[in-house]
Amino acid sequence: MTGASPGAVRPPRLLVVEDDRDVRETLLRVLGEVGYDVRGAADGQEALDELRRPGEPPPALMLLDLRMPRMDGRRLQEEIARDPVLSGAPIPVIVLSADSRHLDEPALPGAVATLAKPVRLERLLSVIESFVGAP
Amino acid sequence: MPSVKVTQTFSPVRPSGGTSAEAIVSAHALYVADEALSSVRHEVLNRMTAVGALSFEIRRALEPPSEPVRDRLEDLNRQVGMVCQTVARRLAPPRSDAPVRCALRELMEPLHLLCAGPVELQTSSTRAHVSFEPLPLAVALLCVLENAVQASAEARRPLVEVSWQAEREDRLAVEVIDNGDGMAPEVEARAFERFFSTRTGHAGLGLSVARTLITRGGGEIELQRRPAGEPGTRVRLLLPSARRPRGEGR
Repeated sequence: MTGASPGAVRPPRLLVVEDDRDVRETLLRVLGEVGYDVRGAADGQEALDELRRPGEPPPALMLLDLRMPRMDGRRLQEEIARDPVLSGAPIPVIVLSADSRHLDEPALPGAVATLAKPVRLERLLSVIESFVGAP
Repeated sequence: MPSVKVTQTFSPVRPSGGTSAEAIVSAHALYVADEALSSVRHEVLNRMTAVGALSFEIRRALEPPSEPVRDRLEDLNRQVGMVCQTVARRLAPPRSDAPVRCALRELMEPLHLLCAGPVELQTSSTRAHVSFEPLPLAVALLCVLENAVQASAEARRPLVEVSWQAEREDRLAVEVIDNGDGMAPEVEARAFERFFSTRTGHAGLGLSVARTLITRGGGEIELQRRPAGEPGTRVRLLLPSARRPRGEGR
């Protein structure tokens, strides 16, 4: 990782949507240490609030757990599709799933990849880099 | 004492046997068990994700790690892998079959038997077909109906209405409406959470099972707030429609 310098390109922004606090904080810490600009949300509703925050650029990629309380991953994608602003610039999604059946199911709208839990960080970093580049 | 080696995977087997009331009750028990197991799978795999990430961080912090440390970290990762393999093998979810053309009116008949009691259950008499596995759909409807029946039990004239209509070209909307007291917003927000119930003695898995089965079959399920002044709760399922075979009348 190199230090930011004036005029340097900002690192890609990632949004981690995961209800398990340990997993979310671990991913935030590791992805932040690697150099990504990373934000977290504990469920779909928090993610929507983050995406609708005025003046913030949209994330380049979203890591999305499917099964969450209050608003799950599928419902979040439906809400994004219904939102006139958010639906205009679809955000690529990497689905994180603890259910092996999701690996065989039709991809969630916007999903570019599905990774089974436990997510191996080497693999996750490699998949993220393939879509948004290195930080 | 001879030891007994248990080799059978505890996986709710794929339920079969049509959609008789007995088959639906058996499948209901299996899917409820799988919902509880799914919660265990999710929790274990989340913990293992966190452990694997810690191992990754330790390795990065010590880069390059000494040989003994590297060996221990590899051991740790191997143990994590074994736990995950055990969870995947022993607590495997049931496999799904392909969807078939499924008549809603006929599917409701055994559900009427199962929900018979002090609550009046009114069902749409129009013919409609969905593309879904019949038994999981019947179990999902049973879960929703059980909730509605319990919710309306205190009403002066307990009533649960089930109706369906084409939503879009490829979707059929099924609505289950009860005339109970309705849900408070904070209850509504958590209604599909596993193990959430406002009633003592209930596991709180019914609506969660319904959601799992409906979304797995390509459908959607949601709670809709009733218009002001109208009692009860409306559960709405959006299911993939089935085309009518050529030559079949209404």
